Amino acid sequence: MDHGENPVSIELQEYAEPVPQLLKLISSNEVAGFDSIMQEGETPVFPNPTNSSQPNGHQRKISISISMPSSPTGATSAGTKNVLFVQDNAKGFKNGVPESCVGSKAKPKGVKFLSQPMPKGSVFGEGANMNQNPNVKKFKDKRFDSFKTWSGKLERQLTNLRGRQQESESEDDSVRPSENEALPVDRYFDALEGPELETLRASEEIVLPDDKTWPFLLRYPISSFGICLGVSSQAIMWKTLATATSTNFLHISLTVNLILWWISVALVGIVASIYLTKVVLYFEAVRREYYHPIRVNFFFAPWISLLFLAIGVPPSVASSLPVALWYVLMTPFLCLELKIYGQWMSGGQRRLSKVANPSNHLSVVGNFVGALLGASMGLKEGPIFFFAVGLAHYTVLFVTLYQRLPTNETLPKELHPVFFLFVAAPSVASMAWANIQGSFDYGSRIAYFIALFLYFSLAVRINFFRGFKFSLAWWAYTFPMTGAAIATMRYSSAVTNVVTQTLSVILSVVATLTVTALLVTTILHAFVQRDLFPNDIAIAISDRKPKSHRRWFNLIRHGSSEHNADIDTFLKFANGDTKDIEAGLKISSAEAK
Amino acid sequence: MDHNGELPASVEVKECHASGFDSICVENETNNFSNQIKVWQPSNGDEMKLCISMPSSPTNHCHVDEAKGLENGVPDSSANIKNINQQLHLNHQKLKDKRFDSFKTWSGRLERQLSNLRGKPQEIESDSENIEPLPLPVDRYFDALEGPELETLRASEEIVLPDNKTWPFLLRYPISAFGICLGVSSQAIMWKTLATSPSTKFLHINLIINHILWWISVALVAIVASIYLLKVILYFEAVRREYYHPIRVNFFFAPWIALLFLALGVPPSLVSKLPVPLWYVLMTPIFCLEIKIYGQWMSGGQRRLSKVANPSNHLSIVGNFVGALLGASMGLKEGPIFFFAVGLAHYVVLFVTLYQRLPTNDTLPKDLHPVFFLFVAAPSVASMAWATIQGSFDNGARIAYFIALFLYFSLAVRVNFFRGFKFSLAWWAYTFPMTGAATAAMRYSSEVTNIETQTLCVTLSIVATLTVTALLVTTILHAFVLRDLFPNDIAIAISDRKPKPHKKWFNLTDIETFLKFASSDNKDIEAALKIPTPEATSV
Repeated sequence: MDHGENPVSIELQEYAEPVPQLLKLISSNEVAGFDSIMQEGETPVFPNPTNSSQPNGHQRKISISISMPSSPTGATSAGTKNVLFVQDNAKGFKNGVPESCVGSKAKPKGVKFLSQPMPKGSVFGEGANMNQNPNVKKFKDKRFDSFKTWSGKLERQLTNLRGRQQESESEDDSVRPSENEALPVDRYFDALEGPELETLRASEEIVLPDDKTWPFLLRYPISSFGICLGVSSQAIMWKTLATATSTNFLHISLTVNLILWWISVALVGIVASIYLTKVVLYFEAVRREYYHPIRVNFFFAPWISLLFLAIGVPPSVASSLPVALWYVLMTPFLCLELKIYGQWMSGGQRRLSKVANPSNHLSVVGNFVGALLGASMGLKEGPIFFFAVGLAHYTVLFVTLYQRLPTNETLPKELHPVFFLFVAAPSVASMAWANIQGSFDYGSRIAYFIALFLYFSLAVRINFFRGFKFSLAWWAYTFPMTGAAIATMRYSSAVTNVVTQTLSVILSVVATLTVTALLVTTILHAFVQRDLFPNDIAIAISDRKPKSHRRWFNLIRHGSSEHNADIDTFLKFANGDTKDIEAGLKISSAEAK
Repeated sequence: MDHNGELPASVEVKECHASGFDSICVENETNNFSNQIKVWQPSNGDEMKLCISMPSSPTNHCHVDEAKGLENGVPDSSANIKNINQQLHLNHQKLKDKRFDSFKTWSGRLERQLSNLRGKPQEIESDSENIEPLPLPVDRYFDALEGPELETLRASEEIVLPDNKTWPFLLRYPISAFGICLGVSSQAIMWKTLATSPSTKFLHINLIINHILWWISVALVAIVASIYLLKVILYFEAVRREYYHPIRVNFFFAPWIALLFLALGVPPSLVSKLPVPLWYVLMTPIFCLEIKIYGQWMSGGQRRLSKVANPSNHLSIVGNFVGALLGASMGLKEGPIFFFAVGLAHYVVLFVTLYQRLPTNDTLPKDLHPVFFLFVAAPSVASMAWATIQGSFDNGARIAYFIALFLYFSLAVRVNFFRGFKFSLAWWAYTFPMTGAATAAMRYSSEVTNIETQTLCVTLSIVATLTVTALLVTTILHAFVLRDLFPNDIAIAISDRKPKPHKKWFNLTDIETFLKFASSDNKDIEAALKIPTPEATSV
């Protein structure tokens, strides 16, 4: 809602005149709601209409939503209450009076509103969309400010330096986006759907404008690191192809490895630096990705790809890596794992039975990759530590994923390329154990054969994997194939016969073809269709439920007694005969209410 | 409701099995019959029009929704039809029972052709194309059946086959009959081990017993398999329904496991060394079945593990270990480890899932049941397999063996929970874990030879032998005295629709809500709606 620099008083007059009392209140609330009016220079006129409206019972809302000139800290204290307020407000707004919409759309042409960093945003977003009137020209799109790290403060300071005094900055420290409450994980489950929780449900709204392309950094997801994973694992594969005894007969030069390695170094550099820019400029977006129950696993990807780079380093570049490097690389893993595994164990909304998804394998496979690198560096205890941690949590994850608990909200109903991550952990684990142990012994073989069986089991269902929309995250699903190919080469070095050699060649070819196909698709999407980075809906969900008529359902799912209600109902439904009927009745009665 | 007429008019009112029960099929319309129906039409014209195919329509089989129209309709109209049926029942005798045709592979067409050859043209064959039934959704099995083996019909349900008379033998012959082969052939292995194991030398047991038992089990396998093969050929629909039964499907591993047992228990005097290709041949069907079954667990849908987990799933796991044991004892290297690895991974999953007793497990018996002895099977066979792979009874093998031993004791002390169940043929399958544990105990006592381990293995062998003997006696009693060894196999005859209209809202809510809780996808809700909508549309 950016429109001009008219004095505030005029706008208020316009509100007051054509609309009846109640409607006027609603519309003013609403303006306050999605843009919470900030007065620049206080006019004496403004407090008066506010006061006059108080007798109608809207006092609380108004006093909360409008930061009074006298209290400089008022808005910050209102931060938590704001949520409540906006909820009521939105309902009134949406269910309610269309005239008020019209009124607010028509009137405030000239008023300058500062958009505030408020994530309560369905209203915010809608308001913003509403203002795409052709007659309203925006100088500068402020709707993305809520995701900016400094809420545009820096830019404003810059313009101030350039001599254009724009507005007093008193409101800036009122609501900082970084002080927003983290979105509860339920919001992600409610608002998003799809196997990667990347599509918005029809009933939901987002806080960012959905009718235009967002700034590039906001559209740049953490899953981009999947490209690094895919390419750097290819570098390892070609290194193994060139050096493994069983594939000597192919006479593959190490040059391929060298080229791929430099490409992946460049890729990691580029991807990481762009993402670093996002961290710096749009920290709120990064934070929302971190709280996304599936995306959070991709935060392991940068570190895994660094490990891959270290494993795949061409012999001509470095013959042996310094041991300290391993400790440096494994530190972020340890921290992230303490956080993520702790969330699984300690319950709450992010317990494993709720968030289990094949992409969790990304958070487990790092252990095995680290163990592999450490063992190949000649370390002893560190690799076993990470191997043990990985094994324990892999077992838990494997069982949970196989069970397909009905409480798993994130598990895709159908098969999806993400299921190939099942292959990653055991195949890397087999190599890691072989390196730790010094030979490809029974332990390694068991892990390797598990990977092989899972691979086959997925491969025979290949026609289930069609029909999905391409996404950048697919890159992350190629490295399991590459990993299986590498493990097969290791195995065929231990058991050299024509069957294992054929198998390793076939798996390498399949992995290379998949990566090539994905590369072509990515290039197509990037340069021809130009939709490689679509608007990243997943980070822009609003933190409220959109519709009041869905509330009974939401109440059951995550009211105050969320777990109990959820689990209770679930158990009742699962259990059996007569109880079921009661449970059914309970629901329908809730619906009737 | 069976009255195939040799009425001059040759009217037949029967249940259309494929399209749902209670749908009336009129094959050759006669004047008086359609008149009769028209008498009833005024009561509820539309539905009668829906459910009775009129003379003008040449394809006179009833569609599903037509049947539903009847079923959902006003109860007095169905009562009327019952009246008709009763009349017909009183009046007519049947020459030939057609009610089993829907389960026949060729729908009895072959037989009809044969009788045509014999010069008895019986009826127009136009109704034989309507048997193209879709596989039953697994939900129907859960809804319609109860009991620890999902073998008893719920009171509210009806079946598509007549329940007041004995069905043809092949229809009553379940896949669990292969349990007998499992029980006896594992006994052959046990007596072979008793005779050859160094720790039980002091018993001086002759290999003759192994020889006899092995030949008995070979004969049993041959008989059981050939009868089941007949069923596959003649009543393929029944086999298909067994395959879709969430518990019976595990018994499809039993024939192959029995073959593996035969290979393991082969008397040394007969064959000293089995050919290696035999192993690959035997393991191929197990591998294919596993790809299918484990894939179902993983890939979700109605047959995901959290829903179908049941101790009999161990049958689908234990094949891996038996195969690994056989392969390793043949001297193979990589293949056995492959199956051992696959078995281990999925055994861990299954073990945890069964121990959790998730509330979503529809098939898990509430109380203990002989099927729980299958818990002992996998670890005891796994310990022997690992010992054979490794070449010695090392720590890995001991861990598996002690797990099996603990589970055995844990079940044995609760033995009085296991009484009071109705005998079924499937119990045979639950004896081989005991035999397996006894065999594993002998392997262990060969490694750690002292009086305790020797006592233990003798005790376990005696228990296993006694159990098998008791079961044998019971089976013979049931087979020849009570003559109810093969009761009507209700599990394969459930209808593919829900029986009562007043339960409909509940079913709808149930599935829908369950899916909402399960995963909140648009697709799911649609998929759930797909089941009730045919009913809803016809109302």
